[in-house]
Parts: sequence; C-alpha cells; structure tokens
Amino acid sequence: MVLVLALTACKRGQPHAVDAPQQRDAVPVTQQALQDAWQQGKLPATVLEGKPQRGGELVVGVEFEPASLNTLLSSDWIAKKIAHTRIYESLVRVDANDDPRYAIVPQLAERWEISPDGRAYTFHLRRDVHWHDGKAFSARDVMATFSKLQDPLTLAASTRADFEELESFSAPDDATVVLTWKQPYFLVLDAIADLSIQPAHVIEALRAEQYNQAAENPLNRAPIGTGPFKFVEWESSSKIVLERNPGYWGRPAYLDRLIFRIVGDATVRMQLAERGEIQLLYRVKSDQWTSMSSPELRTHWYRSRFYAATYEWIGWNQQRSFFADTRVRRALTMLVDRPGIIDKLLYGLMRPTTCHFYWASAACDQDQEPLPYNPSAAGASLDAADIKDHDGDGVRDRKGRAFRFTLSVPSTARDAGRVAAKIKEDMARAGIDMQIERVEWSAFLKRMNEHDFDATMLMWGGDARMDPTQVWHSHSIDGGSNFISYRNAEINRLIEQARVTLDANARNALYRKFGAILHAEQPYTFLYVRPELDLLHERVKGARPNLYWWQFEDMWLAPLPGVH
Amino acid sequence: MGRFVVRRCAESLPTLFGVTLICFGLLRAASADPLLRRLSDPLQVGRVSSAALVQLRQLYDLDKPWYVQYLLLLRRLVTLDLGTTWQDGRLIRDVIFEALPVTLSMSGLSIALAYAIAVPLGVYAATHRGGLLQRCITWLLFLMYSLPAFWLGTLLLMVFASGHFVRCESFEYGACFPLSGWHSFSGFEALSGPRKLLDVLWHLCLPVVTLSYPALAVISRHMRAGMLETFKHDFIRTARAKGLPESTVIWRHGLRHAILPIVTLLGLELPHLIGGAVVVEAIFGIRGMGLVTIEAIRMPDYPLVISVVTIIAVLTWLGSLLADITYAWLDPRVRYQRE
Repeated sequence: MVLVLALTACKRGQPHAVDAPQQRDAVPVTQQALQDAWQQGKLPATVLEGKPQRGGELVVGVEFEPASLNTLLSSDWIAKKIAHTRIYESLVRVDANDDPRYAIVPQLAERWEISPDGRAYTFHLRRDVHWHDGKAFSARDVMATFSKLQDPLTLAASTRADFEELESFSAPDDATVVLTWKQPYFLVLDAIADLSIQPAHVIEALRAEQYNQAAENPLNRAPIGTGPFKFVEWESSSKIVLERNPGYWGRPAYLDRLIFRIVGDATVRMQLAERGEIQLLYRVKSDQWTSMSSPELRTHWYRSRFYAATYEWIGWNQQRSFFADTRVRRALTMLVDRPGIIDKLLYGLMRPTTCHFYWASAACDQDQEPLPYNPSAAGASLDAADIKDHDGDGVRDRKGRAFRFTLSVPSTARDAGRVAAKIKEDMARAGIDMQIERVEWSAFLKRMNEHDFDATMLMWGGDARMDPTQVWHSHSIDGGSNFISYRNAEINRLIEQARVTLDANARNALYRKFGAILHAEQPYTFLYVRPELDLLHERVKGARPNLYWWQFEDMWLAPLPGVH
Repeated sequence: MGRFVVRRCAESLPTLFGVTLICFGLLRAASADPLLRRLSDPLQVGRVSSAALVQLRQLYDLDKPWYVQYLLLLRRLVTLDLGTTWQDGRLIRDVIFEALPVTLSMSGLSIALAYAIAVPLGVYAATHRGGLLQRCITWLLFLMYSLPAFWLGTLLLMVFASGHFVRCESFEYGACFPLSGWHSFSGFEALSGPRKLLDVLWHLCLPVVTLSYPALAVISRHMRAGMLETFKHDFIRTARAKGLPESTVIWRHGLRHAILPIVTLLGLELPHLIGGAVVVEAIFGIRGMGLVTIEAIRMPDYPLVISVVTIIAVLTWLGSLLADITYAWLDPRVRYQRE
C-alpha cells in the first residue's frame, strides 16, 4: 500500500506549492495531500492549473443513454446532462463554477430587466449567435420554443410544469423577448435557465404529434443547438458523439470531441477506464470506490466524491395515529442508527443531513445537528407518550393498539433492503414491530399518491434552489408530493412568503426558519446525502465537480506524457 | 413436404396469438400504470398535472379498456405496421432492423459452435466409454452446464479482455478480446468490408462462447446416448461384419442415425439461446433484441415489447420448423407417417 502511494507521488512529478485560489473541492498538492485527496475523493488543485490547451477527445463513461436528446420531451436526467448547455442553450444559465451559490448569468440573452411588480421579464438577446447549421439565432426561435412548450399536445408535461404560471410571451422585435408571469416567483430565472431554446426553422413547421416523434422530428435523435458542442452521431447503446462548435459565439470549447460511451456493465466500465479508453468515469459504485486496488487507477486517476442536492429520508405518514405525535416521530428518528448505517452498510460514504435544500446552500442552517442515535432517550420519549408494553407481549402499545407499522420501499431502490433490515432490528429492540415491504415502482407511486402506506423510504433530488411547496405545503397533499400529509400553518406561511421573496438572503432566512421547524417536528427522518462518485484521469484538466455535472466546455486535456 | 410445412404453419398460429396475449397480460400485471412507471422521479409525478396525464393516456390509448388496447396492438402486428415506440417515437421497424441482425448472427454462430464441438465430443464419449479423458470431459461439461452465464461472461471478460491475466502483446492494451460492443468503438466506419467482418467476429467471440457453452453439455450428452443406442442396432453389426473400417462405421453409418434426436434438440435449444442472449448482450454491451427487450420492458413500451416478443416467438417457431423439416429430410419415416 505504502509503496503504491509513493509511486503515485513520483509519477505525478514534483509536488509544488500552489497559490491558486482555494477551491472548496481542491486541495494543494503534497504527497500527503495527494493521499488524503484520494481518500476523501477531492480533486487536487493541479487539476485547475496550467494553460488550457486545445484538442483531444474526452470519453465519458456512462451507464444509460437517454430516451431522446430533445430536452423538452425527455424526462430523464441523462438527456439534460448530455444535451443541455452543451448542445442547446437557454436565455440565461446557472453559473456552474459558482458552488454553492450558483448565480444566474447571461447566456443567449446578454441582459434582462425585471418590471417593478416582478412579473414581466424583458430579455435582450445576443445578435452574434448562430445555430449549428449556420442559420442566425433570433427572438423567433425563442417564440417557437415557447409555442411548442405551451402546446398541450406536446409531450413536455414535466418541463411545462415549470411554466404553468407563465401568462404570456412575446417578441417586440428580433432581439427582445418579454415573458410575463401571473405573479412574481423566485424560480422564474431557474426555470428559464433550464429550458433549451430550439431552432424555429426546424420545429415551426412540425405539428405537435410530429414534434413528439423521433421519426418526424430530427431534434430528438440529432439535436441542433447554439452551444459550444455540436452533435455528431448517436449509436444506440454504444455512444453519443459531440464535437467542438468552431463558430461558437462565446469562448469555444477546448476539446475537439466529447464522447459519451454507453456501457451498461459496471465492471466493464471500470476496465475500460483502467486501460484508458475512458477518461472520465461517471458514477462508480460504492463497493468499486472503496475497493479500488488497481495500481493504474491509483497512480493515474483522481477520485471525485461530490454531494449533490439530493437526500434520502424516511417519511412518517401523519394520517397514522402513532405518527401524528411529534414525540413519537422524534423517538423514531433517534431509533434509526444513521451513523451505524452509514459506516457499516454504506461504506461510510454518505453525508448526514437535516435539510430539505442543497446541503451546502445558505437555505440550510449549517449548524443544525441531526438528532443523535439514542435508543434510551427514544424509549423515554415513547414512554412519555404512553406508548409502553402494557400487555407484556414485547411490543409497545397504546390504548390497546400495538405499535406496528410497515416500511414501504420501491423494489428498485439501491441498498434499501439492507438499510431497512437494520432499522427493523433497531425498532424491534425498542419494542416496535416494523415490517418491510418492497413495492413495484408504479404501484409504489400510486400508493404514495393515495397516502396508502405507514412509512416510506425515498430520495428527493433537486437543484441549487428549490421550492418546497410541492413536498411540504398542505395544498400538495392532494396532487402534489406531500405523501405523508404533513400540515403546518407556519410552514405553509413561510413557503408562500419565500415564493415571492426575490432577495436571496431574505428568502434563505425564511428557509432556515422553515428548516428549524422541520427539525423540531421530524415529519421526516432525514437520513443522508448520497455522493456522486466519479473517476477522472489525471490528463483531464479544468474540471470542477458541481450540481450541473462536469462543465465540459471549460475542460481540456493535458498532452500525453512524452508528447510535446 | 409442402403440405407438411403448411400444416405446421397453420398449427402455430394459435400459439403466436397466445404469445401476444400472455405478453400483454404480463405487462399489464407487472406494472400498475405504465405512465407513472416512466416518470422515474416521484417529484416529477407530483408536478405533472392530472390534465397532462389524461392527455398522455389518450395518446397511448391507455384510456380504453384492456381488450381494445390489445386489439389495437394486435392490428399493428397483423398489418405489419409496427408503428412507433412510446419512448421516443422512433419507428419500431428501424429499432428492430438495428438489433435483429446482431442477435441472429450471435445465435447462429452459437448454435454452429455448440454443434461443432458437442457432436464430436458426444461421439468420442460413446466410443471411449469409461476412459479417464471421457470421464473428465463429462464432468467438465456438467460443471460448465451449471455455471450461470452472467458469471462466466464476466469471468471471460476479466481473463481474456482485461489484458491482465491472458495477454496478447500484439493487440491494443494487450487484450486478446474487446471488452464491449459488437464492433470497434472508434474507427470502425473506416474499415474495409472484410476487415469489418473480421472486427465483428472478433467482438463476437466471447459472447458466442458464453452463449453456447450451456448447450454443449446437453447436446453432447444426447449425442452420446444416441450413439450408444445406435451401436446396438443390427446394421452396425452388419457394417462391422462387412469389415468396414471402424471410422466409417461410426461416422457414416452410426452418426447419421444417432444425430436425429440432436436435430430435434435444435428446436428446443433455440429459446434457451435467445433467452440467454438477453443476459449475454447486457454483459458484453451488445445491442441486440435482448437489450432492446429489457429496455422496452423497463419503460414499459407496450408496442415495442409486443413487437419484439412476437418476433422472437416467430424466430423460435421458425427454428423448430427448420428442425422438423431437417428431421423429415434425414428420416424418411417421419415424412411417410405424416403424409
């Protein structure tokens, strides 16, 4: 082990001091630091150093391919990750290098104004933008995209949901677009940043039914955008190839080609990386990550462990009488051995959390500690609620009703079986009878929507900014995602106030208050944030892990050793 | 012979009909709501308005009763207008034309390989009964038969394709075989015709081995039994009595008789091969009918699943028809009896 690590340091050249600005995920390079960086999964600062060089081909290993590369239609995240901001662009974009704030910055619109009532957004478009097929970009393209989005026959229901409050869209001239909303809302710019603008000369002529079909709409399999990468080729289950757009209006990308190689088998992906056919391996499995013994990988690769805006949770259905009691929910949280689960079952890779929002953002109170794992305090809390083993059968009860419940998990969930088994054991020790039930996905969703469950274990994923309305507002009990039927007037009020608070600091203060209430009431037992585990070859430079995937337009390849 | 074929075709129509019906029934039973299943993120489900779900249901005919849905799907099959997939609206015809040649060549090669090895092995086992080598082979075949394909496939990849254990120095990365795909990842388009064929064959080596080895044990065992049975017959004794060399007795007189049941096995092994292809394609990253089927089921994409399953059923049926015809050709008695 020591030998291998010493070798690592030699091969990477002389360690040297670094005066680059300190990145959250970058550490200065010394031998010790390299070892630590490998252990912690942080990229060394050298990744961001050096003069970017043009050229080369970056192959990214991914497990799945998207159903379609039309980001309006596709509801899968991989489509957005591959096509959005690489091929397609939006009026504005999220600054991916600005973790954890992720400010909104100009893209196809060079600037914008917001009316004093916060409803009308006027975007002034760039005039130097061209589509990949050479046609000029104008307000007509934006109009065509919004028309397709708002057409009820377009299969864009999940994208359209972001624009339900959009009242009207118009283009006073070729370079101006005005979007008017029914009311002010803080996520308006985020929604716009998420919407790929598509070429009018391709989509205008298509009826909605044609637009939906890959057989009729060229964008679905071969997108045309304005972004730094041009689409070249998509071979199903094999690869999606992009190349640098030489006529890009901004700074062109450094990479000649960007290839997404689709390999379903995790072992094979790893082997392809080991022999250098892949330079960036997306989503390594936890066990692969911890048992990475290949000398090739240890000497020439960096590990990146990034905690995204997701979290896993156990929700206690408030319609069940036992769970309606805050004392019970707090006790249940204290019975779930989160540190033990993370260490013993999940390779110690998870990050504990107590917050609904992106854990590093100002919407979370960074000082809020998770409730401890404390079975005796939990027992006392249950006793105080008069949930004791009155009849001596080993199971606690109240007013003749035994404390039994079922934890429902989707049959596809990773690790859920092992984690649930551990929780069941802890519950049994505390005199609570918990059963585990695995349910097929669509049946599971149906039961969630109908509130037909006792407790459930799931994961939420989000962005840098999130509106908790859909999960926590009592209006979302019917038709939203408030599966556990949580009702709290103060929470409702904070959510509503935050929606119209455009000032980020004021809004985050509201959200921290919101978080403090959830923490006190424990309607969820917040579990942990699952990291994205990636592998990066040492040749790959300019890479920063962030919520919006790797920013390929800033990345470049160091020359191969021995080649100048 | 013509009448025999026509009758076999007519007989199998209800079977094909049953296959589509069972397939549709299973799909419906397996997932409560295909639309919800497609929205992989529960947050999305909460966001998509119920009006949008109603609209999607209409579009996919999911608002109609199940028998209407089934008949609509059946109509598409019968008229051979397979339509487009739900997933992305591609023509199902295109999807299948991409995947079918891959699976056909893989299964075809596997059958050929399995027979080419198993028949001589079976004959050897029959003629060298009780020998040490024969016992070893039988034992080895039995062992192989019990190894699951996903395990052996991964093992083959690690040993022969990683470049760590078995190395071929003249090859790229020292790897004797490629890790995934059914042709080279880069530069394939630029190759000449014969080089392309070689490249594909090179990529198919490990998958074909993985696919054919379970059949080896079965076929060679039947071959051995058939051969031993044949040796008891009078005509073999006659042949030997005539003073024919033992090799002629075995290979010309014995084999033709003993191979009959093996031909029937072809029809029985075919579904196994195609079923096994699902696993093998997943391991080796080859997009054939197997991978397409898995993806379609996962979505779930009713029209695509039904089309693919029906085509596989037709192929299997064609295979067993072929076996029957070959059988009839090899054994005149069958023909006479049926006609």
